[in-house]
Amino acid sequence: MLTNRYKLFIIQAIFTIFSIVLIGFVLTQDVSKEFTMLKVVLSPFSAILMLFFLLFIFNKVIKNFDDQEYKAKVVIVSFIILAIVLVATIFGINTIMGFLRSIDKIIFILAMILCIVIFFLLRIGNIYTMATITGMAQAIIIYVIFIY
Amino acid sequence: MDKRMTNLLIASIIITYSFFIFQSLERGVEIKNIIKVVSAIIGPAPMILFLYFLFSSRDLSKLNFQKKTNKIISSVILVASLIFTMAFIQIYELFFNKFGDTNLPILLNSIILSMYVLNLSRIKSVHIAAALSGMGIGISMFIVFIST
Repeated sequence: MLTNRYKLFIIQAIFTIFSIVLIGFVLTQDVSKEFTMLKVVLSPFSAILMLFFLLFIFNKVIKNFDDQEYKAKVVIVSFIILAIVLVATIFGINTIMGFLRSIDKIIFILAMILCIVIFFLLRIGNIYTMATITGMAQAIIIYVIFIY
Repeated sequence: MDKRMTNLLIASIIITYSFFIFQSLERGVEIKNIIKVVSAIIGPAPMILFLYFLFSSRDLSKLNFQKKTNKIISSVILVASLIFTMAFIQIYELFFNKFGDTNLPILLNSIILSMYVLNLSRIKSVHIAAALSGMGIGISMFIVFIST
């Protein structure tokens, strides 16, 4: 199982979805509990519409999971993407904790990120998307361990 | 390597981590504490999956695991990494809080174990195994003998 690249990509995507649910649970622990039901129900629908739009636009499935060794340049670029995504995710979570302290806005942003992950899972399978997903999951876990 | 070896590794991991969970829940059974401990246990999982993704196309039949063992160099690496780890934890305790009170030993132990499994199944380098063993022995020696 751990030698097949496609199965590894699916496992990583499921892990990222789980960690996004976890960070949503963590961030909504100490915000104010006063909200209107309409806002909370309506906020994830924008992400669903965005996902349908992206799936209609990119109707070509790209899956590059060959059984070859990568070149050094590709590996270095993927590690740079991973580091950028990791730093950006930690900075973004700090920003959310700073001044977006209400449930509906947090659900909106997390649903948008979840939409991007599901789009990668369904359409683009690459080493670069794998690096992006890895950066998101690792940054969320680092935030939960050290800062929360 | 073998099926028996992996079974033994998994059994030791489960037993030690159940003790870790009980020990860290003595500080107070809250939902925040449980989330922190669980995320410290599954902490290195995304990075390890990414490394498996990179190394999955390696041809293992070319590597000779038995012929290349140099015992003197690998034992020197083990002692050096042991001393380096103990010095690093001592410097950490000077500036931050006590090492045994945080979730850091659980995170380091899970990083070491998962890297060990990756090294056994994919990379097969003796020097990396020696360095990881030195780090593990250093952490347990520091907690048993030096810290009170």
